[in-house]
Amino acid sequence: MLAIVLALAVSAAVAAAQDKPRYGGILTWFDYGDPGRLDVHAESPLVVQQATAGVWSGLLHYDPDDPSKIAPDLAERWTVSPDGKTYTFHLRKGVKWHDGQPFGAADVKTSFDRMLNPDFKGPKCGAALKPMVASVELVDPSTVQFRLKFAAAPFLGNIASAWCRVAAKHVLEKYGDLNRPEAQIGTGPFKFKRYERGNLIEWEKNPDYFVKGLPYLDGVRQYILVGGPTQLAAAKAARVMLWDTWPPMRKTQAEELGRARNDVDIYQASVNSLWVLFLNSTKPPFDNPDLRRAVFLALDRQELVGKALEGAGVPCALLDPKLVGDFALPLEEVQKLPGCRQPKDQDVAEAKRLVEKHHPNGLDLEVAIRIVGNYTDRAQLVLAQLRKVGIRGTLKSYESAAGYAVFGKGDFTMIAAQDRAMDTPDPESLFSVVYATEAGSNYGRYPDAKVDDLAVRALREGNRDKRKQLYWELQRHILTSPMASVPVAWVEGWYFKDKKLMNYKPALTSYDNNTFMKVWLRE
Amino acid sequence: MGGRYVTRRLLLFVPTLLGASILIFVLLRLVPGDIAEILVYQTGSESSTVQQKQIRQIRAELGLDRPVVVQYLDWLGGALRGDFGQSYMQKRPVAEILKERVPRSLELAFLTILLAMVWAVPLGVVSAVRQNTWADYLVRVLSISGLSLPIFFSGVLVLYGLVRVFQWLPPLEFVSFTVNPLENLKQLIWPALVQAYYISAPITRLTRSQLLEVIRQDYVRTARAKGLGERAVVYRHALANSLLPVVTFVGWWGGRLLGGIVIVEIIFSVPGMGSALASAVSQRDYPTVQAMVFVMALVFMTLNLAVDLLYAWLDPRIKYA
Amino acid sequence: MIRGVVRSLGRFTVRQPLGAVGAVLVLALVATAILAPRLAPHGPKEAAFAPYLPPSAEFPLGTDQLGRDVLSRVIWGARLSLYVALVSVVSGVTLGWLWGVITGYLGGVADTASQRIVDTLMALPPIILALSLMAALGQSVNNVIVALVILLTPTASRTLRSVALGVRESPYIEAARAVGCPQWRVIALHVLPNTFATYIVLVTVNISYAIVVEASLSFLGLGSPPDEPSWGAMLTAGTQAMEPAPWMFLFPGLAISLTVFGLNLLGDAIRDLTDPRLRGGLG
Repeated sequence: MLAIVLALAVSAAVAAAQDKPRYGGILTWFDYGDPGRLDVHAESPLVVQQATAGVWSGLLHYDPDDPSKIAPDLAERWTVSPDGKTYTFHLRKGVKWHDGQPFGAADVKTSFDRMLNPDFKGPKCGAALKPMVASVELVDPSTVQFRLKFAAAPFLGNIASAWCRVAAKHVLEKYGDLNRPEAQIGTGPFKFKRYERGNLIEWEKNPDYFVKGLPYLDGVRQYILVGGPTQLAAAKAARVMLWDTWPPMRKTQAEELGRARNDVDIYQASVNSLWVLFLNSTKPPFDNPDLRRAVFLALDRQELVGKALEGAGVPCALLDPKLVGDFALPLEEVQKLPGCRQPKDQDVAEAKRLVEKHHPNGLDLEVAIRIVGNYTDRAQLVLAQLRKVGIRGTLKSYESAAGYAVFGKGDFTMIAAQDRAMDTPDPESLFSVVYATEAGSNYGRYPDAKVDDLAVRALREGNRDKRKQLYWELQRHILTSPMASVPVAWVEGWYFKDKKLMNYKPALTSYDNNTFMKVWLRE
Repeated sequence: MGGRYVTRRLLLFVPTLLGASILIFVLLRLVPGDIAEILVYQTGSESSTVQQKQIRQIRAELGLDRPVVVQYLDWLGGALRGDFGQSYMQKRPVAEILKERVPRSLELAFLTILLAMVWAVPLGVVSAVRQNTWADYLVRVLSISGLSLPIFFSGVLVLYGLVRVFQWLPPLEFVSFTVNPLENLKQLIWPALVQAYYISAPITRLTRSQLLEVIRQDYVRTARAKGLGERAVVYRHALANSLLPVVTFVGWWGGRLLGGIVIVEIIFSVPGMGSALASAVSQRDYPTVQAMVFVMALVFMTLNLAVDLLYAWLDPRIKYA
Repeated sequence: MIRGVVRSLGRFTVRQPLGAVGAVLVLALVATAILAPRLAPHGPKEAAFAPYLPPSAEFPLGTDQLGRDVLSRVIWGARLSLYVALVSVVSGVTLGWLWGVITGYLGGVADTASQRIVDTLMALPPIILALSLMAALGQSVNNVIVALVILLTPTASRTLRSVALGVRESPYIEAARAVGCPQWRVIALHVLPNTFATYIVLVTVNISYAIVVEASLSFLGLGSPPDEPSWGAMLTAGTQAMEPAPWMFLFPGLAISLTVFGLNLLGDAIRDLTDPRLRGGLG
């Protein structure tokens, strides 16, 4: 009896101890490559975000306790003018840069002016804000105003993105950019301690962090590990506590890890990207809408997800409900649409008819693919499916960088798989980047006036419900029209975290919430 | 052998290095995409007109918009003054990158050679002394087995095995030998072993055939006739003489290794020249690639020369005029 | 006639038992490559089955991540690997042979110039040369061959040139020259045939090198197109599923090992029988 009581008391004490964050410890994880350049304003790879996230703060951020919410960071609070075109941010006072200099509104203005400069390559934050922000004004040393060109619905979401970091005016003036390790002087929970190129990056706790009591960790150490076998070995040998990078684990790797360690949580989660198959609409054969439609119909997305993604993905979804909530067209509706529905017989027959109509003897073409992640697996399955409707593809594989160059120049007929990540968790991010006529990742160069019109209207729509209706219409339009960017599936993968790691909440995009400011390590 | 020979050989460095640098320069520019296109297109967030503008901007900033010949001459001029320029990707002097990376790869190459010699030469001796016995066959099978797996695969197998059997992995953080030799070796010994296993086959084979040949020669027969023991014959006379070509071969290999080291460096996360070179190629960081290839070619040729000189010094029969 | 062949084969087996083992392995490889369409139960690209099936009566070597029959891919892989290796090595070494022997024999400016070109090509790290070549040419089976030829030719030419230099000084060549035989005749009738043994050994040794380089290029993402049943590509895919599906790496790995093994044993035997002084392969 006593023993039971004691045991209960002990377990209660343990539970209590576990609820209360513990200070200390170093979090170890890994980057999938060497970032090389560290300028968070100017660079775009995920690894740049991983390497520097903890060093910086934004005006706002996605709440580390609930990543679906926007929360204040350097801005204590903000107000919006009635016309929705002026946002005023009131900044925290007494915040210091890692070098001891005081932080102020001038730093905010310098940072955003830098990213909004039309001549500046600001691939993420800059690209998202340029269309909507007219100017950034200093009101007083702790107040900043953003004047918008129109009332833009995604504005706050964009400002909260981890790409929209505030850098110090004096640092930018001194170094010109944020590429060097010495220029990593932020206001974030961690200081940039060490960058051994090609090997590791270390942050150490910022004792003067403006949120008292944070961070819990003494530091973060990220190894630069290239290639699945090396990364998995590090995970199995308990050298890293987290796999939250690109590419995610394959199912087989997750199983292998699960057998080697029982002190980890393995979970399936969104990779934050849409698998798109691109058709070049500027030249034959895919300047012909019938053939584009045929490809859309021929793809058995269920099988593609089942085999190439090993079950981790949402077939036919343009937007992932887990990411953008009800902005996503309901899956029940999507899965009844021709091309998305099961069984495939009717759609395959129709696709075949469309191909035969223009190419009675079938069609031979080259299918391009970059050799990264599981793209090659996906391409091989796509080829097999297209063969059934009379499209005989041969695989043309490119080294990763060469592929980008070739795709960007439109030097292809079909790209079997190219994932497009969302820069911010707003539906706008996908359409403006992949589907708009002028969009940078509209590799097929397909102009569609209705897409442009709906996307712009949705961008300016202040009423959330009306905005949702606009996006639904847009998704229906894309799923039923002969688009050159053919959606295949929303991609998921396997990740793990060490059970010791507490209060770690992955954000909606892989770019956000990598600061670990509220993460702590259990005994 | 005189200074004239050495001078002549050193003069030959010039056309070779020039040729190698031109070749890699041309080759790199034939690879689709330059760094401007890669940086802009991999992002793909901005509109296509902005992308074109940005590509032009980056090219202008890096001087990639100049004629190729001008770019090469500019690079060459810098290299002759010992200035390899700025890395396109890292935006810092390439010399800094070389200073970080070269010693690590040199150490790994040295360690590889050392291990290979320690393992392969005795095997070769056993194989020759016991020619056509089961021991000979066993040794030959063993050494050929090293050649029969691609390095990447034996590397992955070693990683897998270490974790599986010992739940242990070599350190992921690189520590230089001068800071902590033990920690350094703990990491480098594995990639060195994997490579040593691969290159040991030709060394064993060469030791064996050289030894067999030398054993048949007159002075060895004389030594035998004088009644020296078999051991003394093999070790004192025959081995010393047959090691010479082995040393040449290994020296040649040493230079080769530095370039072939890419795969083990990636698998065992050694931040050396090989992994840096591979990523510089994939980022189209022309100045970094050119400088590294230049250094590798230089090391390769210097080692060759050193080996030839050593050869001449050890073997009085050879005279270089 | 037949009896003579049998007898000499028997002699070879007794004198070079390892060589005989090698010969059997190589013959098996060649037979598999030739008979691939008949031997393989399924198409090498046919992803028609459940993925990751362990070996069974139906799939003796299991299936891979896309549900393709590993046995069929290994069998077709023999054909692809042998094609890549044979074509690249034979053309590379032959080019190097002609180049090295002719320039070596003629000497003079042509020789000096060609030696500088060989120096240059050899001074470049082979894997980097191969990497950038593949990136520049684009990825196809034939471009792998081109890259291999460029790697193999200079080294082969250097080795064969040195052999040719020795041959040039031999009495019978001097005799041929003395009676006024034209140079091309001397080269074609005397020098080339006298370097043939070295040529054959270089070919056998480098075939395994070619197979290994092809595999390594696959690992670095720059080898044959990924749907081709290349052993290297299969091995690379196998490293992604070491524990759950060991058959994926085991069998292509075994195929590469046995091939390289057989070729080296055979090469060693030929070397022992012809010229004991010849140095190792290109590595």
